[in-house]
Amino acid sequence: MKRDTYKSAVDKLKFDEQLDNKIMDYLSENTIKGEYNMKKVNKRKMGVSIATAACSVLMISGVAYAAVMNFKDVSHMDYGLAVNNETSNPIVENKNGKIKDTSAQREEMSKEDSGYKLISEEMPAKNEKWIKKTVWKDMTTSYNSNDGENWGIDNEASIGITTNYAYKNYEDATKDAKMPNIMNSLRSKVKMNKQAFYEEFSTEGSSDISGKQVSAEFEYKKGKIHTELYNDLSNDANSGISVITGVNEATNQREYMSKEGIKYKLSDNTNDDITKTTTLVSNGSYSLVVQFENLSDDEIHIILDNLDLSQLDF
Amino acid sequence: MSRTKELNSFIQLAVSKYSKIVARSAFSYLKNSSDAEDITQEVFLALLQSDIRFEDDEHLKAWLIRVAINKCKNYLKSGWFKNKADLTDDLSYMTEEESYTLRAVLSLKEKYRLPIHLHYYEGYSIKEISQILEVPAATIGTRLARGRKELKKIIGEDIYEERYIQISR
Repeated sequence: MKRDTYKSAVDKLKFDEQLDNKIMDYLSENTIKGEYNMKKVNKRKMGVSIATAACSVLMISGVAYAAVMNFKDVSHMDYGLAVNNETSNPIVENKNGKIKDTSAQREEMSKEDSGYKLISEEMPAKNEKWIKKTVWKDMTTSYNSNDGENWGIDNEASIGITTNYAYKNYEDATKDAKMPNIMNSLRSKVKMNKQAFYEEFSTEGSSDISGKQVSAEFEYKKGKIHTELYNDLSNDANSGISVITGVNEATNQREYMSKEGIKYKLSDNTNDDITKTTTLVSNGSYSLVVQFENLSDDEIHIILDNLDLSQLDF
Repeated sequence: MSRTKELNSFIQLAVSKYSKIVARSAFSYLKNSSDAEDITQEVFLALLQSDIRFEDDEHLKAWLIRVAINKCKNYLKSGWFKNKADLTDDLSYMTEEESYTLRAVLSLKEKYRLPIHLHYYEGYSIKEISQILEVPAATIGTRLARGRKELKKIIGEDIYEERYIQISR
């Protein structure tokens, strides 16, 4: 079934031709003149999406990960990329060395009424560079496993809190986050799309930040670049990272050595005729995921050659 | 410009721009255009009566869809709706493939139908849908996958893709 078929069907749905007029009449009938509340719409931002990070990030609480604190090799996996680990990582590996699609399993684990709940929303004071701050509480039940197969409720798991700051530009997000601006050398080549996001991860009842992330989407030529730079501040020896790039198996797995001498593992994932290329690099406390859409390998190499990773302990 | 005129201008713009989007979202929930239109009116009344500061178009659009879905939920709980006959629309004005596809999507459980509509029609990401529906992103991802699987059973072929990076750490 083509996506276009569903879209054209929905587009053809017939509603009253006078629907808009009926709505306005309905509003007139149901409101008292002069008692309206003003809408506080900043028209300068009209057309700018509030879309959150281009790359969907899944935080998993209470799961034991494998130890990776030194320079990390990255491996191709069937469904993406993962940091190499001597120690078994239940999320990254199974007996066949494949990344497990644990999403279904996690849904079974999660309660129907669980989820991320918005607990506060704040607009900036004049001296703030961010344009919106939201705080989210992870209501999901945490589960733990020693082998990746058998899972039980982790009653000792802390409740995750994510504080999200939205910015109009990437530089402000990285400055506030005190994170390296990996796109610094690319400012003249790329244009940020939508908004940049700085997120702080902590646990309820604690002021300690366990991790920070800056993410954004950029336009380059006719393609897009998604970046997510994560800084693990937890000092947790059991931390690791894997990237699942799509529901289909990754293809065209390859390597590229940048002019800076950094080895990038690249793989493609194609869905609905759209191919995206993803790479993951990780060292020290930093992990960087970059995903490219509608860009050739030559164009991707230009971006990788110009990423400024000098401050990431490489 | 007076306050009332400015407000009217804002509401008119919002109605002209988003009434169909709201109505289609409500339809995907209620499967009935007449009910969807009623919900749409209520949504814009809620907009008129609210005091939310919208950052931009997308914030407004997401808010309207979220309110529409909440109103649909309440509507379905109402005794009035429960006593109504099934008024599933006549879709004969569509091509056979279109009506078949639409009916296939409408036949899915609501928890699969809504994410599919928001993802594949409105183009929202999994994270955005999770915020609109206030359901964890992982759950949305799973529901999309399962919805696709259900659709495949019905129509015999797969639907679309999931465009996201899932990171575990």
